[in-house]
Amino acid sequence: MPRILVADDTETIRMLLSVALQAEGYSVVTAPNGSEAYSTGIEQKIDLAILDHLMPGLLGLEVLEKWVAEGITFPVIMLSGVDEEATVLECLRMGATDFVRKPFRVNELIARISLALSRQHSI
Amino acid sequence: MTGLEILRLTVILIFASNAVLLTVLLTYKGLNRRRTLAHARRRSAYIAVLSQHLSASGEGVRLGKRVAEDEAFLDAVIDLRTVLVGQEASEITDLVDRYGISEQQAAKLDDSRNVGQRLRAAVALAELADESAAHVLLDHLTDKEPEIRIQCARGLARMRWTPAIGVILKQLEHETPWVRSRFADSLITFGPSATWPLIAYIKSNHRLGNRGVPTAIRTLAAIGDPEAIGPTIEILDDANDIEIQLAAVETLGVLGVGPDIYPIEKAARSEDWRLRAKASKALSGINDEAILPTLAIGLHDINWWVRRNAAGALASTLQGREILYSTILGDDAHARDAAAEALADAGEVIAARERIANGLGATRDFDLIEYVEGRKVLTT
Amino acid sequence: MLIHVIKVLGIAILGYFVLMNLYVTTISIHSALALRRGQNLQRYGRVTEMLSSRMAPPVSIVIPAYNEAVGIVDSVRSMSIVGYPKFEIVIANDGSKDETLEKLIEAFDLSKVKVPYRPDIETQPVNAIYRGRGGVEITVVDKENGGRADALNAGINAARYPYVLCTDADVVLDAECLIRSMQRVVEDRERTVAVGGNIRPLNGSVVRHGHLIESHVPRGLIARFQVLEYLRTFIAARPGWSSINALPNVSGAFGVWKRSAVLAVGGFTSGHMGEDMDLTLRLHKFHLENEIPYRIVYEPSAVIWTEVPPTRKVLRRQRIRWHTGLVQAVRDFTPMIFDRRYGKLGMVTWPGYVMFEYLAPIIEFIGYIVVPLAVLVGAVNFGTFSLMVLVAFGLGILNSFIAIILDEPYGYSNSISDTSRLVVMALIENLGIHQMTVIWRIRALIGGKATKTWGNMERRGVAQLSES
Repeated sequence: MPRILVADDTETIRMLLSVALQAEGYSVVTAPNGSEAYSTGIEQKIDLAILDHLMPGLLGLEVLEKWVAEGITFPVIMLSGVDEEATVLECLRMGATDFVRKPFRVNELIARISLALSRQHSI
Repeated sequence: MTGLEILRLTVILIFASNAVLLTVLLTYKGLNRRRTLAHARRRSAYIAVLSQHLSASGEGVRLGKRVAEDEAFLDAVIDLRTVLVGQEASEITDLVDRYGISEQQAAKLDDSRNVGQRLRAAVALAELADESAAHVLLDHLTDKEPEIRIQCARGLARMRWTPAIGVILKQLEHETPWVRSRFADSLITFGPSATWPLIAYIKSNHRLGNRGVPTAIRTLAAIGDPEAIGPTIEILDDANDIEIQLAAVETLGVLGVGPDIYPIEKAARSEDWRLRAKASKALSGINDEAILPTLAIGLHDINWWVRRNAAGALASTLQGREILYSTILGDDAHARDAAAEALADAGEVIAARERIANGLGATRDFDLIEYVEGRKVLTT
Repeated sequence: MLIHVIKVLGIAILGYFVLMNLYVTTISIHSALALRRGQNLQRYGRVTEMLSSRMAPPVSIVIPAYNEAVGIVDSVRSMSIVGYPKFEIVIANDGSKDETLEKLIEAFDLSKVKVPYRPDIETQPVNAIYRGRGGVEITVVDKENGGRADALNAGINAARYPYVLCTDADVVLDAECLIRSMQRVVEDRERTVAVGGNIRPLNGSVVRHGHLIESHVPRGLIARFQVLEYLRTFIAARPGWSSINALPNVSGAFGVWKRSAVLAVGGFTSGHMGEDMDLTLRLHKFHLENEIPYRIVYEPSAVIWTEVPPTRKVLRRQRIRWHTGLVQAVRDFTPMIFDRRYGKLGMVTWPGYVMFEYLAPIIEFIGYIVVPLAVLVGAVNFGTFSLMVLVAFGLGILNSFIAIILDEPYGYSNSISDTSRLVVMALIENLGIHQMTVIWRIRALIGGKATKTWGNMERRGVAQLSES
């Protein structure tokens, strides 16, 4: 059962995604801020991470940067309320697999997650 | 009573008040905490249930009828509505309908005596963006409480209820600056469907000293609909009110100046330095040689803001940059500074340094770096 | 005869304290009313929509930095995600002797540029200006040392936007602080020239990477004492003063100023120990004398957190500095007292401030000598004396309780233990801690070397703060 990390400072999003992803058969672990997201990504076996862009403490982008430096192999989907193109590009350039804008569609996010995971396995 | 007795009484009174205050504080705190925690627990539970409903759509949600009265439920619904979009957001709205939440909040907005409650209801309706509440919100666009008016406009914009645009526009000039700018935000949310109503409003009001017009013009810039360019140029040409001219030039700076550059060029030579500055900014990114002389003059303007914007506009085109490089060697210190700043903002300073470091520095790269550093640069 | 004089003096002094506490109570009630009006909007309105407003005026955040290498990068990073549509950060490096400048250049990829630096306000020489290329516009003004006010002025000179937020390098900004202050500006753009924010001591709270995770009331007595003090002024006094447009101080740690207004009065006064109060009063004076409609407001929901001196030694230095600044301000602005031209500030608030903030330590000090003396010589009966002390004491506690209650709705002291700590402090502060500050303030009045330097805060960096 793939394990997904949901890192977002908004409790509603964490809960919503926990429930929705568990319904899809994934196991979910959450983090409410950047520092915890980073440590969870390193310490636990994660198959995919959904990372909020703007979190207090370590920014989502900084977490991504640190993960990449540590050589993580799981795909990271950035979630962001910021609409600017520069931000999207920067996230992708840093190593994010995908970028989803907030507000989002849960089903769309789920589809992207399964796509990212299946791509991972075919490598 | 003797002085001493009064004194004793006073001491007792004061310490009794202290004790009362302390008790009140601790009791209130204890009660409040319990209430808040309970509220948070219920809210989380509702979110969990609603999330389940969304992810396995079609499955009925089992909640008692009483939930509609629970503030925690309202909070949960609003929170979900805020993070979701599209089909799923509509599902939440349908749910809201089923439990009659909209009606309830609308009733509160209409009837409640308590301003706080009415405001809360207005916010809730704005967040839910349920069309069935449109008429109530429309009615309260003229509520006597400014924050309620703002929330109504916001709600109507979120549900894209276009008949509201006209009403909001009509009120613009009568509102205070704070409410006016928030109304403008709502108009922006409507998007391009607000463009022509805005233009009509501006055209019929711009000669009447109407304070809402500059805001309306700036709203066109924020919406970003290129259809507004033509009418804005007409207004710029036609207007003699400086505030309107400023707003129009700003808007053209964002939307683009269109095929006819002349009105902006004229503004760049206005007597009002603000108009010159904004017009220079608007000329940025235009690949037309005809504007270069005007911008070059702007580099030597007596006002620093004009100089900065003119330099910035020049830095945005290749030919413009040539002018900036040659200005660095000129006599006018202010113009040199403006040119150097614009080149720096455009990344030319860093690029020049890199070229020099790689042995590819051209003469003008050295000139630029020497000016920036204030000393001669050695070739390495 | 002498006994009679001492008796009268003794009673007068005790009477003064009763009066002072009643004055504070009146202001507290006034503040309570002002706060209630604002709170309704706070609880039910969602100000965060303004975050995406295209109508928000751009702001320059100006930070003076002197030897801040330990935490400057973290600090600037956390400020760069403050919630606001358009802003820039201007750091004025005030001739730091450590690697403040180097760390900034490295972390934010800055490069030296030649930009038109308009010295609208005269400052110590500026060596160079650095600009960054990243998402947030960052400018660093590298200059010769000149003190906090001088550095702020240089930063204001280099600022590109019509409003400046002057703050410090070691503060933790609340995500909404800028939005909420600017909301007060946008409400009335023409008249608003300054907005003051709410400063809360960070000590005892949990901070990570420059962000507040959980707020707590510190256990340490020195820090705790200050928490209570700050509550008394920021919650129970400033809202009241602000509502009558007589706010005497927009704090240096967090103030949003209209740049053109600051320039019109010549910026901060270099070398002044209370440069924030000085600028605020000068702005009042300028606008009142020239009959220009204006307002200076205080916004209780615009919150920032800062580390307050945790030890006696550092606190002493700070208080001597503050009081020296107050002395300078009183000297400069005495003419305003009871002059109708200066509106409510001149007729009510400033006289009150002078009488009860400035004169208080002097009278109290005299009291420490005279009153026991009066009892000793039998001029005042011990029973009466102790009752009067209890009255003053009790009123002081009353005022502290009022402040604690007024702060409740903001939800910062969530746990019972946090509130209990504050309550205990209210009960014990007059058993020595307060008296200590009186001695220090008398020291400040005497003047001399101690009042001439700034001293260091012995920065531990915001990132390293832990429960203390």
